[in-house]
Amino acid sequence: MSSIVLALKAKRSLDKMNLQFILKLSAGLSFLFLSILILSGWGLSGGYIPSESEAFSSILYLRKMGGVGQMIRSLHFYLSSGLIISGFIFLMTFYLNGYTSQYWKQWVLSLSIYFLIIGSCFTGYLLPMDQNAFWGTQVRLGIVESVPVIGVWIANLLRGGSTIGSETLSRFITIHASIIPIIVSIITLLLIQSQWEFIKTILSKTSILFGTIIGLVLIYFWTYSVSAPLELPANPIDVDYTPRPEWYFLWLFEFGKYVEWAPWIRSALLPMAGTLFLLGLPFLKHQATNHRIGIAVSWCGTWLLLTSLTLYADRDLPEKLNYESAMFVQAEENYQSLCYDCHGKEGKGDGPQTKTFSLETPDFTSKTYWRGTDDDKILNAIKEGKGKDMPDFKRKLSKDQIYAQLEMMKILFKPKK
Amino acid sequence: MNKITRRTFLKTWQIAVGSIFAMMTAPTIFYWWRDQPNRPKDIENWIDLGKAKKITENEWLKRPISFEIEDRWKTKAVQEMLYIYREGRNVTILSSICPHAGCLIKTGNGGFICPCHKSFFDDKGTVIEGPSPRPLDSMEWTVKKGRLYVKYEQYRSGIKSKEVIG
Repeated sequence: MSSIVLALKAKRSLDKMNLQFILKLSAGLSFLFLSILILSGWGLSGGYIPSESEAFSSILYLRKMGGVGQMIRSLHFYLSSGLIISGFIFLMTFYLNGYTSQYWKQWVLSLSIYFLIIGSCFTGYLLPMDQNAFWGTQVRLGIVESVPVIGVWIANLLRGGSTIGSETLSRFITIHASIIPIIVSIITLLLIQSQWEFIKTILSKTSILFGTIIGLVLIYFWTYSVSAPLELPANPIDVDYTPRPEWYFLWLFEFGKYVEWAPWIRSALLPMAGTLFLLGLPFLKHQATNHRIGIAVSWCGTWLLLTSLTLYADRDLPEKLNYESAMFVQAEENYQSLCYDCHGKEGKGDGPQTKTFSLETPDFTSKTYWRGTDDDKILNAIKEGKGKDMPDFKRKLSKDQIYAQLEMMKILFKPKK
Repeated sequence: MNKITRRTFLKTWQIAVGSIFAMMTAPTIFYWWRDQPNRPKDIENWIDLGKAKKITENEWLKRPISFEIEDRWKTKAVQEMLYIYREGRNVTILSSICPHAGCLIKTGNGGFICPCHKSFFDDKGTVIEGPSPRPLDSMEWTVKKGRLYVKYEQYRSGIKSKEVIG
């Protein structure tokens, strides 16, 4: 009998050792990610313009410039998801280890940081002002509005009014880039200070330092080559757009479907109950290890289940197009409605109107055409019209759309060498 | 004279520091609370939709409208979408913003659909299925001198009753 108890005890301490490792790793990663987020955030701040008319263009510029500009964006975008994951693992391991009563101060501080990070994600999401940003924020503020009694007050405070506008951008970026980072940094320093002796021993290990350097190099290589997503600019009257929350909120999205008869459950009751439970953990009676494992597993299981259900329900949804692809699709559609009549289906200049009116439409698929013109001439022709037969399109198409037409012509019509 | 105990000192000190902190944050909170400029100009809620007779009858029309909101020192034109149905002298105007969480409604299925959480509405705007707590918000309209005017309002999301917030 005693040998079984011993074996169980050994197993438990073994588990604890592995948990300790995960705890330290996730804490370290969280700190690393947080620091890079702040530093890349400083970089983005230098290039981003928080004005309704210029926000999207400034982000598009960063994306188009490639190189380090888009790398900073990628770092910020992907590491924020990384922080949500590593922070969650930290909190979960902390809880599983049973530290919530003994180290309740650290628990409350870490939990507060995590909530503030979620707040940062909420506010940072709006900043690029693309369709995803605008509609995601519109829906989230709508959910805030549905909170009983104080919902409208909070939503209007965040939004700076009853509609999303320039005041919203200013307030969101203040919260995202100033208020939350400062508060999070203060709390992080408090946490580090309380664990300093322990941290000192870890930092002196060469394996940790080397591991961090290698990890950084990997992260940098990866973010240099991928580009963070960006969709078409925000359009408040586009009825065909289907907004979806970020991956870490999909579970809440699915949950909302089940309590549609009382939206305040999702918007107020669930968050409040969850927060009270988490904050109150230190005061609950110390739970047995099995109990805690059970709760942790059921929470993760529920999260996975709800997320999969919603992904499955959305499986037929067309994939969200990135800016370049979306502009290309739009250029093709514009060509069909505005240009095809004269320029023909394949750009050969054989459209129905050319025949009827004996027009001299050029053949875009010929090499001679491309040799005799340049980008500026084509852009100008679309904008101002050409000759007596081609009308101008500067009132129908924006500058970016005209440019997209040129790009489309090059991809579809221009003969390859 | 009562000796000032350590306890009372700490307590008063905490209250003093707390009030100082509250006083420091007060101006910003007050400014954010009072000054909320992204609202439609109150003077002109009635928006001109054009000649009443010109509106095609017996089908749902999608009409973008544009109105001005004050944006601190500038005025900005903002666009919203409306759905209009005219049957003789009777007009129904529905907002295109889903009363559930604020997504844009599109037509489909013989009525209206919200793509976000799949609320289905019939062609009068009543909820057939889905999480929307109330039917599509209808707007007040009037005809003056042959032109149709709509009183554009914004309603609070996610609740059962129609509550104007802007």
